[in-house]
Amino acid sequence: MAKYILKRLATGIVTIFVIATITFVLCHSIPGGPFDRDKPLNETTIANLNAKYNLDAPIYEQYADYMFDIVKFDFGPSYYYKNETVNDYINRCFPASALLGTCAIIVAIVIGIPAGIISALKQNHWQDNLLKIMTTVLVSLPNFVIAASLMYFLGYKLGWLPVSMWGTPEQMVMPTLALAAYPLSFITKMMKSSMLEVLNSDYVRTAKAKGCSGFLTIYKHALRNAVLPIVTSLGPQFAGIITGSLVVEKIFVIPGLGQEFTKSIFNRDYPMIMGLTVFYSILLIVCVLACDIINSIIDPRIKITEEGK
Amino acid sequence: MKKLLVALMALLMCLSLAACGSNENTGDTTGDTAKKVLRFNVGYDPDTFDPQASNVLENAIINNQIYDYLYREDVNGNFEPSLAEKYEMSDDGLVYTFHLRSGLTFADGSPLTASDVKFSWIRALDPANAFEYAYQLYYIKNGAAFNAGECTADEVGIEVVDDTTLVVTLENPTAYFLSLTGFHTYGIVSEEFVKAQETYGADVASTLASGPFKVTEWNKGQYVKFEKNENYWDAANVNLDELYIYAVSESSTEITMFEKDALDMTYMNMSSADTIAYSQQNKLKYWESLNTRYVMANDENPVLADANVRKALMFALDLDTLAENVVMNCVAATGYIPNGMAKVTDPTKNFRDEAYLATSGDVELAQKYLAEAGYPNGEGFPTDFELIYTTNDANKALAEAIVEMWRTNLGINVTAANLDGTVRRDRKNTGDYEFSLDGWSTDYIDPYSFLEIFTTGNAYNQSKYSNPAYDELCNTAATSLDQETRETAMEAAEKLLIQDEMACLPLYNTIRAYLAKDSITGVVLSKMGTCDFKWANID
Repeated sequence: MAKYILKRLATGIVTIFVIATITFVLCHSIPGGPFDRDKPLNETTIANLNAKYNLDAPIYEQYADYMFDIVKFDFGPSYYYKNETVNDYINRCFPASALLGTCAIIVAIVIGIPAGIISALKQNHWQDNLLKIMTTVLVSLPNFVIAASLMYFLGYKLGWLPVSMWGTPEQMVMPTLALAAYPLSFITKMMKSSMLEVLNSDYVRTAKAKGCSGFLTIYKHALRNAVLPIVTSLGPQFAGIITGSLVVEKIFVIPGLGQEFTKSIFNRDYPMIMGLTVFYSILLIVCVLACDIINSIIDPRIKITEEGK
Repeated sequence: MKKLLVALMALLMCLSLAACGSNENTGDTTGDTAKKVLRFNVGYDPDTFDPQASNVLENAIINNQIYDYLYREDVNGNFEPSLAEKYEMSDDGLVYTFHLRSGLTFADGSPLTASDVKFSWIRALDPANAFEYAYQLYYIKNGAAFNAGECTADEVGIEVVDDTTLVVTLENPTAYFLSLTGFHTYGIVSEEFVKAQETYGADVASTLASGPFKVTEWNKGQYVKFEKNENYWDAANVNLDELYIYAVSESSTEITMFEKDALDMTYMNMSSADTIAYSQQNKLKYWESLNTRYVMANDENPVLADANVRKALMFALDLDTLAENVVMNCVAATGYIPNGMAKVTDPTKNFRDEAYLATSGDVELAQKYLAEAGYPNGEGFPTDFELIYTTNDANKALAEAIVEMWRTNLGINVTAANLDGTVRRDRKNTGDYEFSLDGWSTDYIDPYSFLEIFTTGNAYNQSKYSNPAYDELCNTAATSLDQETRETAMEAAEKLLIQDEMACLPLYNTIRAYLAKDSITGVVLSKMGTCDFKWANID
């Protein structure tokens, strides 16, 4: 097990190296630079800025500096934010996104898994039909529609919740729901199909034939296997959701990381683009690995050995 | 059993929802009712409280509340003595002697002297700081040279005579220099305090200013809180106790907050639907600033170098339709200099007396010009021309409308091409474009701020328009101290630029539509786009 994890971590590092290199090349090959302004800066100012950020050094030197800094987890100064390094920025904005994303995933799991089970057990009954409609609607509505509708009804019309800003638990409710909608529908649908598959499998039928009660069959035998594909899919989803959402953060005024993923590209803020990409890659690799490990614990059929993988 | 299971699951769902929504803390920021508190949104999270480093209009708006200047713009748009009590100008217009008020202090009570002014301005120009707005101080003697590293700070034309006297020598006579001292890059910082900070203005603790308010809380990504600066020299005229400036960048959220009384004044550009709805209820207020949107044509392109072609393209546009149905919250341009610009000799009158453009267009005239240029009915006109614009919905609608008018009225096909802002700027800078949807807004209130960008060699003149007669007129406008002479020269320059040459295709002047409570008075909404709450009050 330890060897397997080490091996996975080693490939992870190689992956990050490749991603960092590709991002560096892409950053420097898109047209325009970080100091292009609507009112163009004069040559003196651009020269001063290039000198300040070491952009006047040869490109291979910049690349070498950048790679060495990444090894130290130092993503450098932002070209856009005058007083914050990329590390400062991530430290400041990641907590809000992570908290919001974690709440959303918890809501999605806590509602989605039971809902999926109900759907499977009551297949083609009204409960299933109702859930089908709900999940289809939630999965197909873009989250800005959900966010704006929540704000309009819960915040504006009914006045139950504060319409925006961040900091109190009340202010977290609407963004959490808006963000949970998609993974919730996704988990419900996946849980249903996975549950149905398991319920029709031979060993469940055997368990039932042996006289196991319905609850026990579902809880002890079916659920454990049915939940496996969901755990697998949760890894990348979790990494995605805790790094923030552009739309939800903008609408509810949340000081999170989501907006910066696109903003940094528009601003040609190279260190920010590269820092966020590497940061996201690390999260993704860790989450996927964690899911694999959790799977191996839940599923007795998966055994991580050197020969097996 | 199954029923029990279903019930259990249902309970779980309810619990998980309930767990998220139970707390009595409302995050209310209005404070107690006796205080005068104003909540404004600017839709931007500042990234510095350093007036010299600030390079975004919205950041300047935030900094404006805490800094003071030698001269400060008042509600009527006049620059009135602020930190300076008075000034004298030498006969040749090159030397300004400023007399500061006595007993000035920063918000912490430490003294503010002429040497802090010198320090602030030298700081703005210091090449080591690489400030983007350093060029705003190039008017000062050797300012540009120092910023380029060609001379030392001692050679810059700023001299401290005593604690309250400062002598500034300019490179050229500059008629509008006084208004420049009210620009954010000229904000005064404390030499002693700045030198003690690792990064000045990075947060509340590392900021010290001398303006009407002091910043007391910065909830990053959400709002900045200001409180009245009791040490301000003019504190008696500051009415607000607290001021909040929010960073809500989504217009619909901003409007909902305004409707729910979580904001007193809005700022963001509204959607067309909101504009129509609020204007029908007569709730919109308007903030006029000096700006012109125009189509820039690349003068280095042999087809577009012909003034007849540019005139044909201009007169084929129905600006009234664009302004009323496509853009909204704007007025159709009648020339290049925005309609709100006043005469330099008489601030009560409009700079331009006559309209150089027919706002409803003139298709016949346009076709005549196109035929004269050798493309009757658009025949032979290149078909691969593009009108490039920065991606956003408003620009898209405008660009599509423009190329459609050209197609219908002139029979020429130009493609509207949306580009990422930086790519568009890159193509403009390298001359790789035919038409660009552009605009200009001013940093100082003088018609020259608009005219100068079409002079030969100007960094912003990406149309590469060049005309010695125009340059000559602009030079007069820039260096003469006699306002009559300047005005005559500038009028002639605009006439030459638009009526004779149609160097660019002016479209409209934007007006910001916003919502504000009727009880708010005294907010300075500058024509330069900044605003100031120094004299703001709530009745």
